[in-house]
Amino acid sequence: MGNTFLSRIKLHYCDNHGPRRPGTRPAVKLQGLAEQTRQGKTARSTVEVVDIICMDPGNLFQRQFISSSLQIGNLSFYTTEEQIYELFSKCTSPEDGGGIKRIIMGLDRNTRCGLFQYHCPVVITDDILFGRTPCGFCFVEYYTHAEALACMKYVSGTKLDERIIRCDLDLGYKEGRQFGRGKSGGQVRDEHRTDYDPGRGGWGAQAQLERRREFEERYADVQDGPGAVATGGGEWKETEATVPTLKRARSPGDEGDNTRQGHRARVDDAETDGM
Amino acid sequence: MSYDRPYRGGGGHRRRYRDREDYDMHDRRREYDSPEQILKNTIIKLGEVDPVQEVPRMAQQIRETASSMLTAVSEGIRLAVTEQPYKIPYYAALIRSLHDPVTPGANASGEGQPATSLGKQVLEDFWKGFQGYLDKLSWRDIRLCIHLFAHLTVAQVISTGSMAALLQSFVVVLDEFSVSYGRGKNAALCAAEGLMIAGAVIQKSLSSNTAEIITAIQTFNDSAGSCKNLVQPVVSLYSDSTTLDHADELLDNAITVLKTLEASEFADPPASFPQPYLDYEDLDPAASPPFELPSILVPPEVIELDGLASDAGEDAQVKKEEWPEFWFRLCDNVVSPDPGTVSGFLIRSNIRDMIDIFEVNRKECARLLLEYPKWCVPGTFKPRAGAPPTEEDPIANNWQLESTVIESILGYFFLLPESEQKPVYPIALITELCKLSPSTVGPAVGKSIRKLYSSLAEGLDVEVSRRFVEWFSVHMSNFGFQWVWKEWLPDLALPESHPKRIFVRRAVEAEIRLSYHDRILKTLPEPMQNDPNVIPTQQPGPDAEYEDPSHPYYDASQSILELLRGRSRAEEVIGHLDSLKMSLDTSQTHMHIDSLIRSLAMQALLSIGSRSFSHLLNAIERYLPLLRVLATSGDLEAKRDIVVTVSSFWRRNRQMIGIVFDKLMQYQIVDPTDVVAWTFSSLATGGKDSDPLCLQTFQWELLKGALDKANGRVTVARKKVVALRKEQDDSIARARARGGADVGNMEVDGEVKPLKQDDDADENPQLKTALKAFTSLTREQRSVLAKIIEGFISCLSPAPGDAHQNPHAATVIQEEAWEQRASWSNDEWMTWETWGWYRHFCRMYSPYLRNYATTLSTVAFSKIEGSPSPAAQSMKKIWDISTGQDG
Repeated sequence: MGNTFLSRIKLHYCDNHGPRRPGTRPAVKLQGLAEQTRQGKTARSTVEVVDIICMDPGNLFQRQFISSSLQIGNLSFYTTEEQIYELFSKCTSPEDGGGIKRIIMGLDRNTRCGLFQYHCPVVITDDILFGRTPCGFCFVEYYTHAEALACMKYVSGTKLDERIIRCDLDLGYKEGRQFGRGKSGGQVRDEHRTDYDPGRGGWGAQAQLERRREFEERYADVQDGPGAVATGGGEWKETEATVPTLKRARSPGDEGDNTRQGHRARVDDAETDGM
Repeated sequence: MSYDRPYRGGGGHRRRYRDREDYDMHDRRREYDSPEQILKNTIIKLGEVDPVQEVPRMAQQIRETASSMLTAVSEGIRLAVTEQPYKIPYYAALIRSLHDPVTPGANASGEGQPATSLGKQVLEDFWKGFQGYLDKLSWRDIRLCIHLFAHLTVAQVISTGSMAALLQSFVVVLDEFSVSYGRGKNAALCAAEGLMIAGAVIQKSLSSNTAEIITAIQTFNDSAGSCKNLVQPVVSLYSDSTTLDHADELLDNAITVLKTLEASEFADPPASFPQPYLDYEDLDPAASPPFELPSILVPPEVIELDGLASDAGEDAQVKKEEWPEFWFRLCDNVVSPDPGTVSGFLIRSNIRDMIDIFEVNRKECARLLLEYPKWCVPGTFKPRAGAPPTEEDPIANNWQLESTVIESILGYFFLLPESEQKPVYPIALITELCKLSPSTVGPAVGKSIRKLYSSLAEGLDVEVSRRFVEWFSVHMSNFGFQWVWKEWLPDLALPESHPKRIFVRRAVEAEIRLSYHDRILKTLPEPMQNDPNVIPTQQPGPDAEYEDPSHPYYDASQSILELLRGRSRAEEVIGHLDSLKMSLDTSQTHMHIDSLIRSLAMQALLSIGSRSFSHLLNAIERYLPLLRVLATSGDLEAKRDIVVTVSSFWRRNRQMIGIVFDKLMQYQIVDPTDVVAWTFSSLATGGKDSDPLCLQTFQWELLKGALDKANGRVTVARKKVVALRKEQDDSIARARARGGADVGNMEVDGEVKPLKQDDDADENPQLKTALKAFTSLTREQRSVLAKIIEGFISCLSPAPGDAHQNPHAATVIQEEAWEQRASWSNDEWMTWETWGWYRHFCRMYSPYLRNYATTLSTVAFSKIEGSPSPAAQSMKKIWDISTGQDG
């Protein structure tokens, strides 16, 4: 696309523009899609990377342009991973080695049962009290950036489970990010929400009681800590050669060279970090 | 200036920022404010109110400022032409205005001789852009530029002779030795559309030329004959007919239009498309000589030679072959534009291009599509309800905009073997249109669904039906699942495998996947709610085999489950399984003890992974060592057992079968060949050994999943090898460049270890590994393809001694049988569907099949080689067409 009126560049998450290290060159040339104005200020638009000249792995702003990971917002608390899988698998390109790598549900760190006990005639058990429930967002990680981009173009702003969902390119999942950051353990936005929203635990949750019960148990066994979230499976490897002799052996003194291995290696690192 | 300023060839606007040091928000804003940018934006926005009035004003503005900003003007026009094809006639008018000699008096600068026309200067610069598109073979851009040139020829700005020569250069492509269909089609469209616009003036001066172009296109189109039958959206298995009632082939249409034009010497019909420049006064060719387009040569296609071949020496590079384009028709010519007329053809071409161009922004696309009539000759589309009444125009077409747009988008969506964009794009685009104007687009959508549903019984292609289900379910998911199912109640009387019943069942299943069982159940009328062939009685869930306490292996199963639930280490579980193997009593089952253990362990693992997709991944990942033991130990049946257990555990939830298979392949527990082998072994229609084998959509999706996995791995491995080779070449080049520098020094510098120039691939262990991986992956890819072909043969043309004979395989492809389809039973419909999937497999994966054509046809087709049975011959024919061996 060229730069006609329909493709003016609006930078996405400008405030994330990380500090640029002295001496590094600007990394990405962006291909912008249409401008959208939200609530008076230009807020978001999809941005496509045309070329990466020099990647600075410390720059969060740049990182999102090679990301193959999305954060999905405004989900119903009752939406399952399988529903998400069904919709998001429509953007995959398996013939290019793509696919859905994993889905990470955003969970309430504590439990929202405190809120629910007023409305649900459910016997409160330990399982429910300490269980974690989805709190309305998730991460969808693909194997390729193009797939994540396709979601931004075709899925963001459409409905899933009868709610209009929002997709944002994400820097990739990091330990602990599966939990909401709100004080109550859920998402911050739900603490400020005053309206009635049946899909998100608001009044009227009784209507979906059956579904609710199922959900309260589903994530009861979720743990924190390293290794709590699966990777989804990596690249194909020769099965006979699983012994780690594939990499060239390095002497301990080589460690310091890591930072000087050129662009390719850096981009690779950034990708692995994001996974 | 360096190469960051004036536009030079294609993609220049992208290249512009490359060397800029401080690329950030501040910079961008500054750029927007530059006078060049403002002028460019003004040009791009031409016609927001009334293009006819705006053109002279804009021409005046450009005259006043442009001498210094010529590049901005031509770039603005170039972007506008290639991204807003519906405005091209007005940009032609703008250039024509700039071409007009300046009237005396207005030229206040008082120069003596008349300066070169501004229009010509703009065109000269514009030409560089066109040349850039040509170099990149960016076909759509080329074609849209030709639209502009053709309009300018009619507007007397471009000389007729040079325009005819330009079109001829594209016709030359059609005569190239072994020209690919895709290249030929694109070139033919360039020539055809150019001729439709400028034919009238070319005919006047060079009539032989037009006839020549038309004949060349027709010859090319005729040569594609046999391919056409394979990509028609409505299938006829018995005839080789290349034309259809409900679909139009693009080049066929182009020829129809050109022939009609030729017959009337390009005089009829007048006013098919806007030509605002015709209102201007005639030019004096002496005072303002027309612009001569330079002559061109359409560059050949670039063939990437990366020298990577599979171990059998076949080229493993995949080049997507293009096929004839059949556009599905849902309306008749009274309702939507007739593609056999100039106006109909060009309108459809415009809409197609808009769908393509605005793929990045579906909302904008929807808005522009609904505004499209503004850019057409008045009377083309029926005025909106509530618009001021216009005079009755006898030649007005009064087509329906919404029906046209939905028909075009669905035509795009249903292109075979696959549409250009991901299928969610057209789906999302229709959703946007419905949101934008529910009262007008909604009915058009409903009408389309009914029309498609009724064509299910008329031979709608199986892949088109599959996409129809996909569209229907996602669309309904966006609009509250409101569909009037009641009107299809009478069809419940049809056999369960009738395409209509299959559609209803699969649509409901897809809706449930996007929502949940009870929600969808409520949307159905009662007779459907109670029909297990419409909706299952319960929510799709797992079916654990050993969870019944009375089951003889209940205790064994529970003991494994307990270990898994307690997150015991994989080694412990393996140990426990070993002891179970010793102690378990197998007298209760016909299963071999190894199979039994595998089944118990897999069931337990799936059971802890059944809560959600993440639970599944966690379970697989935690117990990878266990899975590897299960998959490799013992006999060849190990992987098969795993696949079988998955399919029985999730028998009530087909989505999960697909997901688990995908992840088991991803973690390399099973291979794509295992999935393919199992899929074909599970096909017996009644479950008995003597039943025919039939493949339906669900199984096709499993095959596709396995095949795509194998293909995807080859793609990734290929990229890796190419990247490593390049890295190696670069480092060799660097080492050479350094010449005398000594190796030790360089290592201190921390550079990539230089390779001596006589080093070859074997010296680089990474590259060696990558090449080895590539070789085994292409081998796997080939065996998946071979297995699928063998599978289809066992379905449609089994060897005489085979248990699963299918007498219908040879009959459903005959005309008499097809005419009797009203009385077909389930087996006949399922056999017909199997034929459909075989055809789709061949055309969809034809690039891969071509690469391995020789091996595959000797290995897989050996069984039916020379067989006189009509089924075998039909299979071979479809194969030959797909692999390009059909004369």
